[in-house]
Amino acid sequence: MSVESEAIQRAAAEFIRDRHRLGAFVNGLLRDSHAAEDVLQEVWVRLAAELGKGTRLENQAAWCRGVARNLIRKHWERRQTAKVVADDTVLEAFLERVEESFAETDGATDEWAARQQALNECVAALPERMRRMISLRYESRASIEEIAAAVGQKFEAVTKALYRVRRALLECVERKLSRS
Amino acid sequence: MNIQLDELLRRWREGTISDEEMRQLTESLVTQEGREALRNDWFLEEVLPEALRTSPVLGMLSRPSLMARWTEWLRLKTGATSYREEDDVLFGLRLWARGSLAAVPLGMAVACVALWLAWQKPYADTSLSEPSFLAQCLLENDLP
Repeated sequence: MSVESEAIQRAAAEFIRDRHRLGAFVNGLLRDSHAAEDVLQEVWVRLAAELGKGTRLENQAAWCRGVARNLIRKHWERRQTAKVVADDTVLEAFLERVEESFAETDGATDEWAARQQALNECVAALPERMRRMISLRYESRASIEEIAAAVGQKFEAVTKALYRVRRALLECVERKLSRS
Repeated sequence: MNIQLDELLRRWREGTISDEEMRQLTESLVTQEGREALRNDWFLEEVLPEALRTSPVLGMLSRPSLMARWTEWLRLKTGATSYREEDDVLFGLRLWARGSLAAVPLGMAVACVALWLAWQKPYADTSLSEPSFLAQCLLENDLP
């Protein structure tokens, strides 16, 4: 096996291990799961090409975020409505701060894995009605109006319920992590 | 949890954030609390769909309707007969098992008696046949 293909295999393993952290970064900025998926695939293609050239990366996670940032900028340029805010300088400053926030957790892949495990347990303990609601929101990607119609509640009630479930899940995760 | 920060993050997620709110959100990311809140919020967005697909349902189920409870009560009542029938079969099996265990010492007792009798019989035969054996010996050897 050549040095390059070994490097690509190691990079692939690290990419998979760190996929949720990079996914959170890309999905959080784009707020569009399909566009985020395209960006993640493109990041991987470029990473493999770079390693194929024999380039050694000191911090793969940071490199991937850098590439993802450029791709997100291009996506926003193509679709002006997707970036939400009009002021480019504010958006650029926001991007910079988000990058710093994620850079703080570089090398903490175990912590993210523990967080994910804790979330699985918290989701499993959710009451059925709440689980159905967030399942409609996050699995079926239904709008608040569609969820309201499905569960027979008002728009405001669903918005509040979803907000409470999110908060409850985050608090549950923190509790579990602090115990362990 | 910081309610204002939560609200800003929600507005960002939903695409309804204004330029001014965006500035506030960016400023809040200077603090450790702000950065953690952002990471946690986006982590949930990213991982929740997978968690929903993979986590088993352990939560409290909602109370069934009156009709469902009544049907279940009926099912249990009718199910009770079959349970008793099944129980009878199990009882028979238990009896058979106990009977089999009881047969072990009984069988051993019978075997002991049979062995004792078998052991006793040759002596009895010897005692009975001894005079005729002696008589035969006397006759064959012309002994006085």
